[in-house]
This record gives sequence, C-alpha cells and structure tokens, in this order.
Amino acid sequence: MMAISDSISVYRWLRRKRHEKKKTLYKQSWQLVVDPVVLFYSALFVIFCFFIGYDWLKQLLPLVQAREGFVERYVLILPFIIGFNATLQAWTDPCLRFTTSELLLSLLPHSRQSIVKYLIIEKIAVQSIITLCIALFVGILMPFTPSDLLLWTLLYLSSIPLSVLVQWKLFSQNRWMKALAFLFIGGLIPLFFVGTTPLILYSLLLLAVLLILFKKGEPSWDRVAEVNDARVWNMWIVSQMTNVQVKSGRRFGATQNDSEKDRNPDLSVQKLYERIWIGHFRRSSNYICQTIPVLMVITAVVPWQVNWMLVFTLPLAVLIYQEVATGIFADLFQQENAFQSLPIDERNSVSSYLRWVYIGFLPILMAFVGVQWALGEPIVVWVIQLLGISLWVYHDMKKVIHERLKIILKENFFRNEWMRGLGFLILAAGIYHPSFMIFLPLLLLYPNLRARLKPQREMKKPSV
Amino acid sequence: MEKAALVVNRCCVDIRKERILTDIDFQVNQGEILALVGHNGAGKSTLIKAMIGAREKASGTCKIGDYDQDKQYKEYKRSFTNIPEEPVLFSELTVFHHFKLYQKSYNIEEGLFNERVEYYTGAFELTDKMNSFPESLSKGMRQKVQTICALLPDVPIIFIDEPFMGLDVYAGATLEQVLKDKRREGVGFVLTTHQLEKLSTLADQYVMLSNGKVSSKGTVSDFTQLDRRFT
Repeated sequence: MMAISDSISVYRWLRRKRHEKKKTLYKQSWQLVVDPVVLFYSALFVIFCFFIGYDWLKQLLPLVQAREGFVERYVLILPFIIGFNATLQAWTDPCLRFTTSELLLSLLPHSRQSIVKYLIIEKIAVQSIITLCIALFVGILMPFTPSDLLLWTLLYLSSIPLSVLVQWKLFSQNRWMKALAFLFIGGLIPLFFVGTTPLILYSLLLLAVLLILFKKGEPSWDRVAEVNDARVWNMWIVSQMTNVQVKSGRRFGATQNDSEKDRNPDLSVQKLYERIWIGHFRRSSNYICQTIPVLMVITAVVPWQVNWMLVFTLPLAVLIYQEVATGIFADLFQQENAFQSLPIDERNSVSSYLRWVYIGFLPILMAFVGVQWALGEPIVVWVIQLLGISLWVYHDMKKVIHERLKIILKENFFRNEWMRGLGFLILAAGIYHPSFMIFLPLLLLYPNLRARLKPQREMKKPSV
Repeated sequence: MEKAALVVNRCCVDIRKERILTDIDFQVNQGEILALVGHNGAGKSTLIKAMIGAREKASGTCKIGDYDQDKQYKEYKRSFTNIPEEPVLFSELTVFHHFKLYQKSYNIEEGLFNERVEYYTGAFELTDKMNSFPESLSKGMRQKVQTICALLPDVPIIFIDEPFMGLDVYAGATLEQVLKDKRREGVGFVLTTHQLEKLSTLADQYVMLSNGKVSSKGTVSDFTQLDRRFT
C-alpha cells in the first residue's frame, strides 16, 4: 500500500485531469447552445436583478433590525436544521464526491479509507471557508451585532462535520434507517419550539448522530460511485444544454428503481403495460416535471393577472398537454427496446397509458379551479366548465393516442382536424361563457349520429 | 418447390441521406437457416433492423409469407421474433413477466406456454431466476432470457443477431440444438455471425454483404472466404 501522501497526490492529479475534461465538455456544450442575443438579455436581466435586490435590501434591513431579538432566541435551533437537512439529503446524495475514478484508484495500491478521509477533510474545509465568507458578507450588509454573528457562525461551523459524516453514513443505509433518522432528528425541531430544554434536545441529537456513525456496515461503493458519476459530470445540465439524452443505467433519488417491486408472476397484460409505462415515465421525468408545472402556471398565473386570458391559456394548456402526452407515448415504441420487434397489444397499451395521462391532467384542472375560485367566479360556472374540459380531454386524448398508435403501426386513418379545431374553439368559448359548453357533447356525438343517418340515406336512394 | 418464409426484394436503406444498403435481394425458405456474413460495418445489423421494421427502408420490400412489411405491418410483426445482439429487456419486469408479455403479444395458448417456459428455462438453466429483474442478471443471463422470449411463439421467421455472443458453451450448444429442432418444424432463420465455423454446421444458405451490397450468396458449401472491407 502506498503512503497516504502519495495516494493523495495521485488522487489530486486524477481530479485535475477530470476538471480539464469537464472544462472541455462544458465548453463544447456552451458552444452548441450559446446565443449572443440571449446572453445580452440575460446580462441585462442580471443587472436589473441587482437593482431590485438593492432596493429589497434597503427595505429588509430595518425589518431585520427590529427582529434581531427573535433571531437571537432561535439561534440554538441551527444544528437541528442542519442535521435534519443531512438526513433529507441522504436519500439522494452521498455528500462526498467519491466517483468511479476514485473507486478504480482505490483498487490500485491506494487506500480507499485515505481517499475518503481526504474527501471528508476537504469537504469540511471548503464548507467552512464558504460559511466564513458568507458570515463576513452578512456581517457587512446586515445590522447584526458581532456577538450574534459569531455565535451563528460557530454553531454552523461545528455542525458541518456532523452533517457531512451523517449524510455519508446514512446514504448507504436502508430506507427504514433513513426514515427513522429523518423522523427522529426532524422531530426535535418542533420540540424545540414547544420549549423543551435545549440540553435534552442536544443530547438526543448527539445520541442519534453517534448511533448513525457507529452503525456497522460498509458504504455501498457501487451506488455511491454511480450517483456521484452523474453529479460530478453534471449529466443533467449537459443533457439539458445539448439536448442529448444521456443514458443512465439507473435513475437516482425519487426516480430510482425499486428493487423491492412486486414480483407477482400472475400479472395481467394490462398490469405489465402499466409497469412498462411507469418505467417510461421515470425515464421521461424531465419532460413531465417541466410540462405539468409550466401548464399549471399558464392556466393559473396569467389569468390571475388578466382574467380574460383564461379563454386562450386553458385551451393552449390542454393542447400542449395532449401533444406532450402523445409524444411520450410514441417515444416508447420508437426507442431501442423490445417493442422494436414485439407486437403491440393495442387495447392494453392505450388503456394503461390513458389512465396515467388522465391522472397527470388533474393538477392542471386543479390550477383551473384555483384560479376561477380566486377570480370569484360562481361555483356553477366553473363546475360546468370543469365538466366540459374533462369531457373534451377524456375524448380527445383517447382519440389522439389511438391515432398516434395507428401511425406507429403504419395504418391508414382519416384525421378529422376540423373537428378537433372546432372542439378547441368551443372549449375556449365555454371558458368565455359556460353555456357554450353544451356544444361539446353535441360535437362528440356528431360522428355517431352521422354514422347512423348515413345508411338510412343510402337505403332511401334506390327508391328515388 | 419450397415455400418462401421471408422474401427481401431490392431493399435499400439510407442513414442521414447516405446509402448504407443497396438493392439487397434474398429469400429464406421454410425450415432453412440463412446466415448473413460480412466484415464489420458491412450492414448486417442494419439489414436486420430494416427487416424487423426498426429502421425505415428507402425502397424495396420485405415479406413474411403473404404479409408485406409496409402494407400489413401489424400482421408482419406478429410473424417473426427477434434476438438482438444486446438484450433489450424492461427493467420494470421480472424474467417471468417478460415471458408473459410475449405470451400475450403472440397469443400463445396457456398450456403450451407453460410447457415451453418449463422446457426452455430448464435447458438454459434459468429456472431459479424467474422472479429476478434484469438488473440483477448477468449479460449472458439476460441474453438467455431474450432468447427464450423469441423461442416461445410459433412464428415462421426468427431473426438472430450474433446468436452465440454472450452465451456460455452449454447455452450455446442448447441454442444450436433448439435452432436445429425449430428448423425441422419448418421455422426459417436469419442470423448474423462472425463465427464462420458455425456456418458449415448450422446454416443452409449464406448471404455475404460487403460495403452494403450483396457480394455473393448461395449454399453454405459454396462459401469460400469472407470479403475484406478494403479489397
């Protein structure tokens, strides 16, 4: 085994090389997406933000001064908040950036423990320096007394090593252990507010930290390295910037694969498709997590400022939602997976997908209800509108998904665009005045009525 | 006269406006194994992808029995199975769920399905992995699962891209035996391989691709040597 100093110097060389590579990668990503016009406007926006910030600060300072006594009273809560944050972060982030490179280095004659120790010391040192800088900055800008500021800074600095070690240790524990630590340390915060003696609370916190730190078991090196690889290389940012989806073996955090999934062998084909869709949604979570909040904002925030805009924003939100939903649907059958050759069960694939699509639309409906309620619309009005929107989304979504499947299966079909356009017009009119919503069921019934009437007309022809 | 299971007629494939495959013509009869051979980058995998419909053709036709790939895509898709070079399994489904998905997709009768699952999982030594997720399987095991999935339905054609890649010697021997059994039942195979020694023992016909074109084809006994990329 090499001496620690040699291991550290090799490790630092390795990291320098990684930084160089990252720099090149970011440079390439930047060159791909940089737009001088956007850059100019962004710079202008930042300057405006500074002015706005300065203005806010002027208003904030007297407020902080008036509240200094309050801040002083609750200073002792800081270690609990930091500890709670560590237990929360431990679900997704191991805290120390131990990547595959470090793992491979530790397979050579370099001690893994010395690399980890170095990472811990470095992390604590960097965080401490940042804390001191922020404290200095706050001390200059804010009207805190030096003694208060010193107390805050010292408490924060002493909590950093504990938080780093707790997060690192807890990351590799099972979910029950994580949940227990999360609830226990989180539970100390309300106890502080109800007036429990700080000494007791600090003793409990210390006990919890010691139990976590002395719990036996090696870190899950593979998982730590896997999560850190994605973080260190900032794959999310790179894929966002370059629009290239970087494939990851596993998803992390809330979207990670659940190894304890139901293994029941007697699943119906509908259930099998549902599982496939859930996996597909996990892989498309970027789109979904961006689309739904944006559509909620379009539906609620804009009309909240200018109420008549709802006539445009709601149909637009419905249209965008449908387009994104059909896009995600089609993606599954166009990606490199078993469906490239496997025949698609049309009925089950569509019905299992639609169920999730309807659930996904609920937040947008809630945003609509919220804004109508905030605008003071009578309940009868928005209930009629809600029924109209639900009816339209239910029917049109089903139709567009079936159409998309027909395209995937290379089948010919007649796309009734004018009817769809008319549906959206009626939807907009129904938002303007709920009585227009009556035309939606009529429009949806029209093809059936026409189909019933058509043979009768044809039968009449010979007699003429 | 032997009945054709698969007919590929003047098939051309473009990738980013560049012609990768030009006028590919061949036919696979029922109960016949056709080997696609060629140097790296000759277009074997691209041709398989075009035949299964994963890559659009620029022109030409592919027919399995009476089903044309462009005109009766749904029926065409139900007429073949495919074993890709890299296993493509769903991480959300267990091994048995994959078999179940194939059963439902190809309408395999329950009794026959159970019988075949039992036989193939025994032959490929996977009986203890039925409730495992693909993540917990080695690449060879995932390849075995993919192979079993493709062998479960009764289809006239099976496409296999590098059939023995990733399989251990026992699984390789089992697969060879299964292919021979299926051939006797009248199933046609299109397989790509770099293992030329397998050609003489397994294949009936060969089609050699060189730079995206058919450079020679015929019975395996006529096969002499592989064309090089640069001649």
